[in-house]
Amino acid sequence: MLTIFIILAASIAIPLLLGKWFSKWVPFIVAALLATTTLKLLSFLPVDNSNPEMIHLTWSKLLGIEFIFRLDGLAVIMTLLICFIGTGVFLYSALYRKAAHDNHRFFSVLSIFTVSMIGLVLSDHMIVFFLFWEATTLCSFLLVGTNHHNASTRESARKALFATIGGGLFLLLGFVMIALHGYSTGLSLHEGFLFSKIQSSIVSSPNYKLIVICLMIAIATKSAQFPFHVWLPAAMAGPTPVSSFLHSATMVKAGIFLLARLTPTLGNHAFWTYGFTILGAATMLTGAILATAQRDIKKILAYSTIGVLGILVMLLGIGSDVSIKAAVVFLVAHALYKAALFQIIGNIDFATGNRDLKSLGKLWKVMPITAIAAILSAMSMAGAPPLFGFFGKELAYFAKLELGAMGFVLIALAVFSNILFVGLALSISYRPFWSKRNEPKDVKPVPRVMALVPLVFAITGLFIGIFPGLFDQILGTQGASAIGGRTLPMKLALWHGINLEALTVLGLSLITLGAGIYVAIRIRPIIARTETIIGRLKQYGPSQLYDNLLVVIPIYGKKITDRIQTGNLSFYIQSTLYMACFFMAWPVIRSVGESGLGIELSPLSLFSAVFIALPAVLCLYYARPLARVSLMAASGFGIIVYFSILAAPDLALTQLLVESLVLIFILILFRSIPKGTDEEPKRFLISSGLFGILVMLLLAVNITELPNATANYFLESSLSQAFGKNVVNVILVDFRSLDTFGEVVVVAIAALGVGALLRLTKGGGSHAR
Amino acid sequence: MLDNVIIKTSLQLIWKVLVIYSVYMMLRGHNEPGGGFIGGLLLALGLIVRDFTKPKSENSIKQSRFPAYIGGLCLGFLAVLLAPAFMDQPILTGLWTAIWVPIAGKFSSVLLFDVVVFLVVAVSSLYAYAVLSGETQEEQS
Repeated sequence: MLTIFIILAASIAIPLLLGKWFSKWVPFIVAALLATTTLKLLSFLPVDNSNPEMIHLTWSKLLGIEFIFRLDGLAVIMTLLICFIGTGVFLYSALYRKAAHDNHRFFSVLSIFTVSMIGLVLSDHMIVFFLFWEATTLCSFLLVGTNHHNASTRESARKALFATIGGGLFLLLGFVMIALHGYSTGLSLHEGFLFSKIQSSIVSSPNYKLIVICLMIAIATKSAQFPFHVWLPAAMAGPTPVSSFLHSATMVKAGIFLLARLTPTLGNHAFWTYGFTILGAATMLTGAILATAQRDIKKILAYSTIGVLGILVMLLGIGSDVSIKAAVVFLVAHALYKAALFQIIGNIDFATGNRDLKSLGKLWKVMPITAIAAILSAMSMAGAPPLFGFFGKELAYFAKLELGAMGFVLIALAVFSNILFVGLALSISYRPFWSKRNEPKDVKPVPRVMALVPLVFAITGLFIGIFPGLFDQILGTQGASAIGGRTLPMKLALWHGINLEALTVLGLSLITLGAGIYVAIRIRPIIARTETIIGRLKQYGPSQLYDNLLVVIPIYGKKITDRIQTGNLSFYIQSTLYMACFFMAWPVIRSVGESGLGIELSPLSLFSAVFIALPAVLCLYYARPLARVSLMAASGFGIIVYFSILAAPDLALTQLLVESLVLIFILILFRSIPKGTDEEPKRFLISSGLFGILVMLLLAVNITELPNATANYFLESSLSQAFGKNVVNVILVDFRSLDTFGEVVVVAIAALGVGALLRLTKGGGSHAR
Repeated sequence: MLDNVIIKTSLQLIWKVLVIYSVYMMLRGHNEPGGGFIGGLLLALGLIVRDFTKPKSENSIKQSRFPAYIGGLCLGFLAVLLAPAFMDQPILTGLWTAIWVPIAGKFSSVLLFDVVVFLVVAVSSLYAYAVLSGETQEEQS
């Protein structure tokens, strides 16, 4: 497994380091590396779920974060898909983007994305998982925004980023709650973060529902579930190879993967089952209906991806033996055919510059290889035997049959969506290539490799479909067992014999196919019909909601900011004082009530009253700036003397220096205080008076002496443990150094703030020099 | 800035004393009254006084790079704090060496910490001063 990581590290390093000079060769090198990884992975098959290949690399021992990578049945399926499809995508995009000038950046990001995705599916530590999760989010933002000179592309990329980053925060929250539960049941914090150590007792934890909701949001945003699906069609603004990679085997499958990863431990609860089943069903329906309302073939594929993701979430949510197997098969089948279909659309787009289902036709003569690939992939999408998609669809029907009453509803919904998918699959594979209505014109020749890559994906689907034994023995069984947390032997077959259940499922499949063919024949009026209906409903949909939010948030944000940030200093000070009074008032009054007031007149208190408090009060009386500054200085020097009397030389010294500096600053500012704008001091009378009274009460309350233990501890251990005689300093730099750090950072930020404020009033930093 | 010769000449002496004294204060802080914070304020004070002795055209301290210095120092500060984590110790641990340093005694991470406090405080105060004095001068001219 170490070899795999070395290869992957190389496939990141090569585009980054050499991409500038060898941009033509880099994608081929990376493709070769990924192909090697695929072969290397095959040598691990079949993996042993109870004792998988593992790698430990310590990152931070102190924080308990380790890179732990586990190659179990689920991970190996995902890794194989990513590497296999990644190989094809790199080859494909090498030719697709031959003319592009930013290939260095593009391939660097694409390879980082690939490796993060592999890291994500392999990692066992949640924090590392989260790291890769966010890395894929950021990379996909960059990839979708590849054509960033286009405003609508930037908008789409931002939409994808908003949705997925927001979900990422919920993911972290969910992970922390899981880890805390593990911690409370005796795991170390490090172990609490391991997927493989999550305990099944978490289901009875009081936070369980909260955890599930957090994870549900994370999964829904990443895997484009309703109502967060809006970002996925928008992400079609990215170049086609990106869509073919991100929306088949990677990115959107990360959420599905997380769901599968957590199923054995968290899935054993009705809340989980119903939540994800309903979420998935709603998404399936949304995707299917919206897909039928598109003319752009790429958009059709995008929405059908949403539908399929919904099906996967639903199957995993149901969580029975058959449905988990169905999910595994469907996952693989979808990755293969969807990657191929996106690339086929890419070829059509490349050749004709057109992606409109209505105006394409007769491309069969021009691009025969692409046409064959299209037919094979679309048949897999339609679930026609003997392609691999067929098994997925059959198993899904089996899974729903087991569910009883709820199952019938789900079957009805699924049949409906599948009919639409079949119709769409047939139309997108038939119409562009054989429709006689349109003649292709100005067709650019498509490079052979670009036609062969989707064909390879499609043929792989056909191959597994004809020899399902190859899949179910070495991959499927292990994958399903890893998801289910129990041994689930998988046996795929085209023909299930003659019994009631099998015949029902066969009947459902036939109905789906038959009705789908009808839809495909009448696709034009159907698309037109749904388009008008969707157009009418659009203003209530989540996409519109998102757009509205983008408009509304800045407006209200500005209103609120204008109200709070008036720019008037005395307003700020007054509100700060009032807030302090508000929070102090009740505790102070209560403690006065409890312990009464004890006023004791000593020389020291008299001194502070005369030399500290009196000048401060007089400040309110005098309006002239000079008088106020002098009074403030007097008060400050009173404090210095007070500290000296109390034998605190450090404090006195600091106070002395601060007073001197403040005086200098104020004197400098004096020159620029305009005449006649003196604030009326009485404006502060109420707020500062209230605050003063509260502070006085606080000081006068008969509070019992604080325990001396802390002070004594510092006094005793200052010399022995921190080797310093000046206790104040030792506390600052050693015992409480984190506090000091915070304070010093505050000093620095305040200084920067002064600079920023003064430059801002000047309008830009042009005079900075 | 100042026209009085006597004051000007004595300030020229005083700022040097203040700067040297600030370093002394910082170094002795661990055992006697003093420390990074006080030292930093003294250093700032000394350099501000130096600014007073210069003629008007020269006296504003160049401020354009200060934000970068402050940011860099804060990062350095963080590095000092986190350094023990890379030596298999909890962060913020005080590490001591046998190297002798005048006044402070032995060289240690604690001393380094104090030095960074010293620099951040001094630079921040100086920056505030530079911005303020630059501002008012422009208004007057």
